[in-house]
Amino acid sequence: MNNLLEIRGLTKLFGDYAAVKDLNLDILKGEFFCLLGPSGCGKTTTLRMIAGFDAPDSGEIKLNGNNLVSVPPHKRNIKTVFQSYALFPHLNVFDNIAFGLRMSKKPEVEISARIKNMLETVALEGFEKRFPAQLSGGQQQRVTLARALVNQPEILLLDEPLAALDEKLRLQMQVELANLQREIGITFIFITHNQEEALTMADRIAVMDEGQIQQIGTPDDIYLRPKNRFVASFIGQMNFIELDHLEQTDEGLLLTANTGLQFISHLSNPNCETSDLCFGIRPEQVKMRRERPGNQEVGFKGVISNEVYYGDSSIFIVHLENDQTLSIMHQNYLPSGINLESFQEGEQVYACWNKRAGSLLPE
Amino acid sequence: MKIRESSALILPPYFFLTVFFILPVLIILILSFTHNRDWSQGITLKNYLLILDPLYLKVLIRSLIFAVLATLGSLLIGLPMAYYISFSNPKRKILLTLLVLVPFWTNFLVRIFAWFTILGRQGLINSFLLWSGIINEPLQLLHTSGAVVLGLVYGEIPFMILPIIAAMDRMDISLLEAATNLGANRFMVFKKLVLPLASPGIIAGSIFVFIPALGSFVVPDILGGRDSFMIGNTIKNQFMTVRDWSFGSSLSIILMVLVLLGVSAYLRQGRDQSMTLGEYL
Repeated sequence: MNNLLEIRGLTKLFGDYAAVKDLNLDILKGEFFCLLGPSGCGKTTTLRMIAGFDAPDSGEIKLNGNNLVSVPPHKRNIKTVFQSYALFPHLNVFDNIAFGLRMSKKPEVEISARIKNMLETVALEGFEKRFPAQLSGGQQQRVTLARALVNQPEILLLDEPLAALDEKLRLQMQVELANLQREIGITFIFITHNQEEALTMADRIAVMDEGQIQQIGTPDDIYLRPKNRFVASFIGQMNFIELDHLEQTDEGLLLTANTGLQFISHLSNPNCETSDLCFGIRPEQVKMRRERPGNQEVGFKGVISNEVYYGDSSIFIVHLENDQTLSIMHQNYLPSGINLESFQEGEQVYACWNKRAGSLLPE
Repeated sequence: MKIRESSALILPPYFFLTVFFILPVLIILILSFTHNRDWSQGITLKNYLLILDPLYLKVLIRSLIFAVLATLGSLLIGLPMAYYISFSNPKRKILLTLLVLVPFWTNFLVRIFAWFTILGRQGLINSFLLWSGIINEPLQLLHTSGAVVLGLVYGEIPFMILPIIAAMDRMDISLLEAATNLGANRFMVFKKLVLPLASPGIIAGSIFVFIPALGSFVVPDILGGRDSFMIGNTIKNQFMTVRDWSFGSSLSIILMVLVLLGVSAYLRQGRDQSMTLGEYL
């Protein structure tokens, strides 16, 4: 209803290879939208078509209901933050930021005022006369952002802008970007292959693979209710149990893994082919116990083979009977600092999870 | 020890330059102060004062004008060509760059004489104009100033194109996309980005064209007429025909000083303009 950008049946071919296949997407006004996927999934191609650098082979891109495809890139009010920053090396910070405003022939007085404002927003006051090569990576990043935002675009496209930054700076920029977007209210379309960036910043995420969108939803949706195996494996960690068949019983769904493992689940029956179905459960949804599982739980006996220590928590690799392996997250301390139960490699434990936990994932 | 060895390696080229470049220039410099190699008459400045004769001054000024025109002409044609070549797909780029170099595979004299078949009274242009009825009498195209400048442009243009291609190749394509994204049309992208970023190549190319054009004598010899010979012709005549080696030497020295002054002034100005650029390219 208040869709700012509507993409319908968007397709881009490179020779015989479809980089983007029949893609449909609605982006709402003012949201922080994230296109997430591995490299080669078509997310950059999609962005380039929105910006107008590449022309689609078929499909529509509508901004406020007007078709964009025939509009040349320099006339679209959609600005881009490039992965390589693409700052003009022969212009100083002021002239870089002024570039777009000068192209649209704004009076110099207004340009100065807007740039002053913008530099405040990105905390770069006093850097007007510096040249790009005299700035650090993080500062260049801000200039690129300012150069795009100062034009007050309807949409800001960000192409993996944080990829070149070191870990610490990236975390800081994630928070800053999210705050900035909320403050100025411009619609952001953020491209990344980094799930953490998507989960921390986005209002909604579209997970892409092989030129198609696999799932669209809030970070919560995507993490807790992945729609298929790709999404589940791409976002966070997931244990997969390949299923042989499933059967509706009085107690719930009786799942039989191809390893012979059998257990009850209270998930709803997905009513699809079982052959390509699997049961996914996240490491933090599985508990390790020395005692037998409770009533509401499924539990299997296994042996701890490895511990991967992360400080506050550890990931334990547990071998169940029938060759099934599970990763289990174990909290090492309570917030009060009290040590929790500790486990040793080689120890026999029960791996348990709630019958309502996990998800049934199609291929 | 290592440094010594590497400096020993660089000695042969230094030796070569000293013997075959610096020494001849020194000899010319000394000759220019003699009474045509007659050492008994002592040294003199008359060879340098002779250049103030309006006859020679005119030739010198004409040479400068021709060289500037040839440089501008090469730039005018070479810049769009370099732009096109640089932004072609890799396969076509190699082919086109090779084509720029193809003229070097043929002797320069032959190539200059080839212009006779184009500019001559019965050449391509006149034949076409006569045939189409635009003119009744063949135009005098050969042996004119225009023919000389044309020949200079033709001969030197690869030296303009190649450095500009090199400069443009270093340009990041995403810079051009960024400019487009910020609202620049093709013309503005060219003016605001391509041109300033290619300026080191343009400066280098202009120098590479200007210097040989200024000293050229083959092109005006063949394509020029009575009113279009250049300082190079005068120098050649002093050595080969008039046999006044001392005057020929003083003209050579003057030409060399002019080139040095001109190029250093040009570089200094270019550096001021593209100082920021030079720092990053």
